[in-house]
Amino acid sequence: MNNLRPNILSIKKLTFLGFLLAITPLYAQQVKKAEKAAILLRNATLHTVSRGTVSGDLLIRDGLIADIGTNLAIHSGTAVLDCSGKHVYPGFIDGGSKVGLAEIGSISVTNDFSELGDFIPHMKALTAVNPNSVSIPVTRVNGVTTVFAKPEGSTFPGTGALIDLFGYTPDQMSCGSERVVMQFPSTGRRGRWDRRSDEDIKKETEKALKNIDQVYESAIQYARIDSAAKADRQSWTTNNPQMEALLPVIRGQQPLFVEANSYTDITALLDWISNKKIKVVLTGASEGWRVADRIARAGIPVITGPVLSVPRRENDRYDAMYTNAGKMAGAGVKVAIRTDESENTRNLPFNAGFAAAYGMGTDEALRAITLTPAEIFGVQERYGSLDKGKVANLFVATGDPFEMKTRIEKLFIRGWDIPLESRHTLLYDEFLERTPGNQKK
Amino acid sequence: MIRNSKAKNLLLLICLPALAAAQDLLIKNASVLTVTKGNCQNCDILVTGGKIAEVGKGLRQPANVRVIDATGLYVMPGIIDAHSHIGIDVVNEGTNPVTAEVNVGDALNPLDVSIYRALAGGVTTSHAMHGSANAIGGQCQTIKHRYGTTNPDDLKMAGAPRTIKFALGENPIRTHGESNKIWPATRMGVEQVFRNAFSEARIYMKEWEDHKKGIRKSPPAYSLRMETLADILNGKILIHCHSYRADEILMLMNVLRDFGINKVCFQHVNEGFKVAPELAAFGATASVFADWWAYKFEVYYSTAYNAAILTRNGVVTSINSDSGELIRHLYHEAAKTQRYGDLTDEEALALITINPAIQLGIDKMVGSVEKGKDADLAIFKGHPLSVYAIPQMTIVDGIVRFDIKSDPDDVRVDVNPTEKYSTYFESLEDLDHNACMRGVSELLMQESHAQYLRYRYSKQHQH
Amino acid sequence: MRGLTRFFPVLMWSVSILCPVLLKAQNSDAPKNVSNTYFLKNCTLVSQPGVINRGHSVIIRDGLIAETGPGVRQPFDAQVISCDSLYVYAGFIDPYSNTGITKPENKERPKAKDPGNPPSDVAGIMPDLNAATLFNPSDKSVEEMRSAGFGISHTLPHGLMLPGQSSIFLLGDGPADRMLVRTASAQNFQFEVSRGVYPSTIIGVMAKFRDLFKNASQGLAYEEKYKINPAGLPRPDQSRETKALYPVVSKSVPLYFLAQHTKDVHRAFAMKEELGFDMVLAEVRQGWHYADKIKAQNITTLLSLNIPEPEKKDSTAKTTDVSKEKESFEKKREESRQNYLTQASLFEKKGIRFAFSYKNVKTGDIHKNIRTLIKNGLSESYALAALTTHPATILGISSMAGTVEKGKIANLVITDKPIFDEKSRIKHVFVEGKKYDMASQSKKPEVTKEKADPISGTWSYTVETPETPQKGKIIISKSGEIYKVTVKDETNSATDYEGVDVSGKEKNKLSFYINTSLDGNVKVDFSLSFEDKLFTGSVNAGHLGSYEIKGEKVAKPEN
Repeated sequence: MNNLRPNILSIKKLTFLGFLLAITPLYAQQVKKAEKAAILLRNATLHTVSRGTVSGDLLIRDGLIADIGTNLAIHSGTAVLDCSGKHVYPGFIDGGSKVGLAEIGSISVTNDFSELGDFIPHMKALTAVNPNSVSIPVTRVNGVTTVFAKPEGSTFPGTGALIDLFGYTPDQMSCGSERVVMQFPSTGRRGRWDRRSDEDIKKETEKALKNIDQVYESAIQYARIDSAAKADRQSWTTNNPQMEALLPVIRGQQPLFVEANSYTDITALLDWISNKKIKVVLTGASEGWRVADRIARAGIPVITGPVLSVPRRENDRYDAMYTNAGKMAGAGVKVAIRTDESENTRNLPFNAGFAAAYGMGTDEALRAITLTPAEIFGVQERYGSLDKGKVANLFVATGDPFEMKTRIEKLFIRGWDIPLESRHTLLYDEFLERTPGNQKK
Repeated sequence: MIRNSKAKNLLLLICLPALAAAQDLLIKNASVLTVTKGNCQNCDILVTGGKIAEVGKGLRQPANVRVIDATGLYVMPGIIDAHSHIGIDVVNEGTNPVTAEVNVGDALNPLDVSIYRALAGGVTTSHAMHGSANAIGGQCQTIKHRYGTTNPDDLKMAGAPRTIKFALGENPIRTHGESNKIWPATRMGVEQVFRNAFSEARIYMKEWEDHKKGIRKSPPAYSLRMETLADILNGKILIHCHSYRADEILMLMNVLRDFGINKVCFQHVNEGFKVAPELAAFGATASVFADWWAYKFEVYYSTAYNAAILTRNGVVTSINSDSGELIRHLYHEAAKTQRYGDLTDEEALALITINPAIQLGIDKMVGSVEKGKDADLAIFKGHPLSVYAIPQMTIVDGIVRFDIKSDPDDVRVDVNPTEKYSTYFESLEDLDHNACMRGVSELLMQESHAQYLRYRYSKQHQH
Repeated sequence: MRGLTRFFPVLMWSVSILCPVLLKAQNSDAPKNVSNTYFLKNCTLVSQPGVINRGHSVIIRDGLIAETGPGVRQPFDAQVISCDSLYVYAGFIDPYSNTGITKPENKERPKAKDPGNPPSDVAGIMPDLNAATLFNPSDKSVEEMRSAGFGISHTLPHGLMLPGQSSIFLLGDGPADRMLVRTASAQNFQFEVSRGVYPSTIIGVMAKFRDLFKNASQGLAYEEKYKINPAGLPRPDQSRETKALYPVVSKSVPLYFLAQHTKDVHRAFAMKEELGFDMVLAEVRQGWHYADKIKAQNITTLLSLNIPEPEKKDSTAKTTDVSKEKESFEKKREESRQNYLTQASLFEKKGIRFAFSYKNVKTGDIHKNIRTLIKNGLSESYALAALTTHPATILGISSMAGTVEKGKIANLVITDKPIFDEKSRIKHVFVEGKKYDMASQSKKPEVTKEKADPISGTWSYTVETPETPQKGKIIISKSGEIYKVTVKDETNSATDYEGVDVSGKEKNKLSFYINTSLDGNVKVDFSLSFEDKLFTGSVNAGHLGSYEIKGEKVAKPEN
């Protein structure tokens, strides 16, 4: 170990060597930029998700997967990367995260996911996405190329946005899929310290349910007037951005993303929507396994997670959260997995890995962070699998990307060849062999 | 009377795991990951009297042993968590910047379900720590996960040295300087709290010495706080210090050097990688998170490669949980060092076995699969560093405390006789991400109720 | 500052003993007692547990039991109580409660300048405080306990970790000094912490106690040395906290540990084994794991009568999805409850001579709960012993109380049915020969005729928060139809609230709120429901959480 610690002599040696090899240290000083790729990934194992695992070539051009096949022709200007023994996966999609909206947990002014107010569906997460958030490169180097950046904190905290984790403006990052999110009135206790009586909780929940009913009724009225105004070519002057934001939900153009976690809340949600015409995606669903059959019958897709999370009842099995996704999937529910994290959204593949190990199986778990969320967000034509014509969000790995040992060697987002660098790797490069080492000067 | 006998049976039932005597075991045909002595394929482990009696191929099967067929399974040493807060009722006595006299060992809670959940992740020993609200917090307790007992003392690991929690940076500053307007309000102040406490302890020791020599006639006022500080100065208590930034880490090493203390384990130590050579030179050890960062400013400039950089620079490093969540999958946390820094299997496993054992001063008893050590073992299906690994059985002192094949749904030892069915918690603060500052809110709640509530909310994201 | 607050309870006491004297004067037209000698004629006399004598009579004279037996002659000067259908028992003895100690107001304490070093009274370290100086015979708890059959209470001050010393009192209505049987009979320890100041946790409390105890040990030793020859020696420590613990160190008084939970019992044992003092375990709710240890070490144990009520079947989960889990949950809960209910019978079987304690049980529930324990296996005679002979022995007063025997103090309970019969009513209670007649249930005097405004006034509140509760006062005033609400917290800083709204048929529901501009705006919403002298409700602070609040009317709001 000691010989790893550079002393003055070895530093001198290093400088000398560096001089001889001319450029290595200089390169390290330069900022690596993404490059628009025109590249053929040759002889790879392609985990397409949509069509199983195949061997072959994959061509990236103009930001898209231009072609997939065997022995694809090499055009001029196209680089070739030999991927023999390597594995190519579609970029992972986190169905619920705060990457880009949260920077430093304890410093509230760096967090932009929770605006004041209980009914503010018009608050757009995309507006507050910080393309230069330090967390973004940290997240994507683990193969997570796309996340649903979502607001939270009240009943209708705003509208989340599906974003790719590369770009210099929110518009460049946007995948064009935004979704109104809602927190379903919760009957759960907020912690052991929450000593409200059961009756109080019941009362509060009833009140909150009444509120959302009212919102729903108003939104229907608003949509009706808006349609009537358009049909009659009337000019209807109004300023009601909240209701405006709900229009796509009310008109069935988009599903409402509803967060509900406990058994009681999920069943209450299922009751609530049973007589409504809107489409819904259930998010959270920590106790989805208790109601899996009903969710399946209702045909409601689920985005669940984190999988790496403690059971929510003291009398729960220790693995209740590990097995939840698999149990729901087993009952026929369409399940996507999220981290619900901010700076550690990079753990998405490991969350999927645990779900895979605890009953979901690797293929289904892989789908739960690729094609399934793409479908839930309505972007399955462009995202979620390795198919010709899809956006080139993909990575090359040395093996199964759920395994911690596996290395990700190449990453593409929208066909951009993204340097595999982040604050974490840069600090590693700088400090593994610190110079000067253990000297005063 | 019928009722009574029923109740009696019940009592027996509840006490059963606690009373269970160590049965001799023969674990057969396993892949044994000893951590210190390499791997051994198709290997057997004989456990007698709660200790590892023999490790080797084709061991002779004595009479009256329970045979555990581990064909196709991996056996590793029971996992050790050098930083957790499970199994205790109190984390922070944060009222004074120095509370060396308090001891979380006084508040052990063997009824905590988190202990079972840790067992189900292969963890057999943990370091139940005082919190980080004060510069010199309370003494900690190394516990063995003997879940099933109702006797708090059963958790205590005999022979484990005394340890104490120190804390640097934002937490003590916020608790004392910001809310109580007393030192420390800066990292400068933190240093002087240590220097002052140790200097006072020296005076105290001198006074007692004088009294014993007869120079001083009356005994000095007894102070448990000073007695404890004196024990630290005399090397009887190991320091485990909550720390993040490189500068404060260096500061504490300077203070300790000045007071002749040569052992310290830095906890969290997110910027340890920046001063790895200095840590190595001091002989300090480091117990880190696998990948936690950015939850507060002092961990914004962190890297998940911390453990790897420290290891490569010769610092004895461990990966800890500080959380009722992470403690359930420390094997997974350790494996992250293979993505972030290419540690070998043996190095990665050492982070959660022999290295934390060294840091807690219990490496002669636990931390590897070696003859003579405590029979604390974790049996996995799949290599423990694989994401697909599933713990099968966890053995503490030769007693099977977790067995996936006979794993009841509801494992509570203590059942609230009036609890409603069944309480769902939206969040479990004491099982989750804020354990280090648990219980401090009280202090910061002098102004108004709402502020208190606000504080509670914000601290859900702090460590 | 410290001296003042120490003086404060004494002040309170002197005021309160003035009050009954005044009342007496006003009542002087009531008929005088004809004779202080009584003849209980032809009773079913349960002279001690298990000894039932039919047709016995009892003579009470000068506060003592003068004679008992089948052939006792009726003295000429005695008032006669015909006991043909009545049962006579020894007066019950309460070895542990706060009877007669008026609960102090939430003292408005100034914010501790240094929470790490608070004054002793703020920290709850009051070992020199003696219940004898606080006892108030006109506190309603005295009459309540007496009505439940108790003639003697061993009472301790309200407080925190070291609330003070217990004293033994007769539960008559005479002046406190006359009722005192023994002063400073025990020292007390509780795992109760002071909010936000040292020691604020049980680990702080335990460390602090070790510190105090060791100082007391060395202080006592030094004082003895000093007494022999003070020449050349510095004067001993005069700190009151330390000196008050000398009797515990020298084992001349026991230390009562309030230990409800199994973990408390363990911690009490740990302290005892480490420091070495005479320990009494009090208010034990969940001590069955330690029955053998208690027996082996002969530890005096007082079992709590605060036992869990049966739970109603919940209706929250309707569908079949979870019925199996729910069933097993409820089964486990009922099994757990059985442990609580059978603790007393288990202790009986182990031969542990326990008594009951009464700090945390509503007086009205005492007999009901004892009956529940009997239903769960406790024998009637042991139950009676736990009410009489056992506490007498524990308190060292069995030569004067605990049985109905010649020469003992005339503390008696007279019932119309056997005491543990569901329908049994207490007719009379004697305390030191003085007869108290129990009003029949229906004739309870109405407290107030006029239906006053149910919410106006000053109320103390407690908000249940994760650590220690928040306390303070809510002041509600009404001018015309407009209500005003002011909330004072423990530091006495007052805030006026907005949106005050009174609702409900009886105008007993109140809601109000405040918008605070902390780091992000928070609306703190109170909604309270008042009933008689109590209120309950919730405080909702949006995403910051919601808490239960409860409180009671402050009798005499000070300014």
